[in-house]
Amino acid sequence: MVSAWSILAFPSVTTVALLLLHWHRPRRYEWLFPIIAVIGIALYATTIGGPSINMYRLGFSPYAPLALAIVAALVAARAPKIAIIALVVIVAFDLHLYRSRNLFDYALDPILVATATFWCVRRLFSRSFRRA
Amino acid sequence: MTKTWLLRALLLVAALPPIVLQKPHPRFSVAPAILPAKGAAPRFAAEFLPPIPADFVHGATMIELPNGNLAAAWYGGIDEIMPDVKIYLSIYDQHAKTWSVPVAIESAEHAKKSLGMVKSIGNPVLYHDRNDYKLFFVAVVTGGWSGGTICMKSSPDLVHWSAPVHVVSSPLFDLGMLVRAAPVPFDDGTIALPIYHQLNAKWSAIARVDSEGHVLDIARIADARPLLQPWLVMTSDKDAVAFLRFSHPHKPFAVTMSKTHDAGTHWSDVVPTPLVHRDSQVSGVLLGDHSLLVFYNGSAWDRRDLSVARTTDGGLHWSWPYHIEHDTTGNDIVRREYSYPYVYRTRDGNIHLLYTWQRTRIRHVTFNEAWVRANPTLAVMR
Repeated sequence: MVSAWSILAFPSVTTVALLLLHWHRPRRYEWLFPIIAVIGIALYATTIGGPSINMYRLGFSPYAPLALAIVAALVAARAPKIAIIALVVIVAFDLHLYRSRNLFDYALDPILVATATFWCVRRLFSRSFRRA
Repeated sequence: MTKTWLLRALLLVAALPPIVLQKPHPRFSVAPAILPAKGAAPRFAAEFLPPIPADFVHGATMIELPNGNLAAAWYGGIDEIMPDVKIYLSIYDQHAKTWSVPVAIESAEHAKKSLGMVKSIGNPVLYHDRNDYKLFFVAVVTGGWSGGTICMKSSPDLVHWSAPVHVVSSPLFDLGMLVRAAPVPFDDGTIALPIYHQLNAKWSAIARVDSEGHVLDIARIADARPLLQPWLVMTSDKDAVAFLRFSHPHKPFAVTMSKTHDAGTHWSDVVPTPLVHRDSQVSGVLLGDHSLLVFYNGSAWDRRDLSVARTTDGGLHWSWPYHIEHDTTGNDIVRREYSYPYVYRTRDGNIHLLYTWQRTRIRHVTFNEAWVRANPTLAVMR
């Protein structure tokens, strides 16, 4: 089942993990949303925006999991569950659980990025209105 | 604290396998040189492929089978991106000199069962590697071609086919990526698959794909202009030229080209050739004397002219175009279009060209290198 990557139907590992975490501890991991939004928007903008920057190609690099592991190791003390999500993403990538061989497809998906972006925009607007 | 360090250790260990297992980037797999037969008489022949039960056909592809027979595939239906479109396959028997009755090998309805959302299909690309036969094609999920995605199915005998799978090549719902041109083999068994993107921005790339259809790398051909449908011509195990379609709806330009000297890892800046065209597919082939033939619609406004031009110095100088089709008929009741050339060189040295003829038939032209050498238009570089 997991090898049947299907358009609009298969969430990234991060989405599944965040949904599970959110079920137990809402709002605990919302600080991750701006990071997901920025990386996701950059990834999709460089995909549909033009050929000069090929950000998606970085996800094919054998060093991409190492880069994610280093970042996750740095935040492991303060946010161990986020580090565990990163670990699951990397293991899923190692085991080729999806048809994709690109780490971005395990870490992000458009629904997750859209949700994170929506959350960021809503947060920005609510703060602006409070100040006004 | 101990748990944190354990987690860190696990992260680093998990990240190691891709680094440890990585292999150097492969080189192109160069087939034994095909030398033209000495004293061979010039030969040029044309025929139509057998009709299919549909008024509209387009996008032909071809391979040579191990026994020397040919297999051609194309798609047809009411029109492009219609739900009734099917991909048809026909085999040419070199002894009987006949094409078999075309058989539908894929349809939108069938693809939908494995792929989920499929509105239509098109752009078949046949390929044969050491394992089996492969059929790459585009499944249009939503809207027009820009809502397409690349798929692949395989067969041991061109009769029994596996269920199609996605060739995942875009992070955005895997949409907007298309395929049209012939793949080129790498020496490790993977494939250099020319792909292009046309969801919002138009750009071209070469994907490295394994035999199961997993994309291992995507090298883009960086250029701000709308360049589509790269056609790869391998000139050595590290060198290749990509010819690109200039895809502007109104503005005419030229056939453009980019080169690689590291087997497709990096691509040079795109440069124009003197071959004027606008928004139509281009294809090319390497001859035994290392000159290149490029097939294209040699008109700035329509697809009424299908021409071939030759370069002997890698694209610096070109011959005048030789017109394979040149339709000046005033009658526009039928679509006077001769497009989507797909060129293939067989092991006997013959060059086969398939193209869409008035969108109603697929035309098959065969010629040899003696015909190219004897052709005064293609002999002189300007």
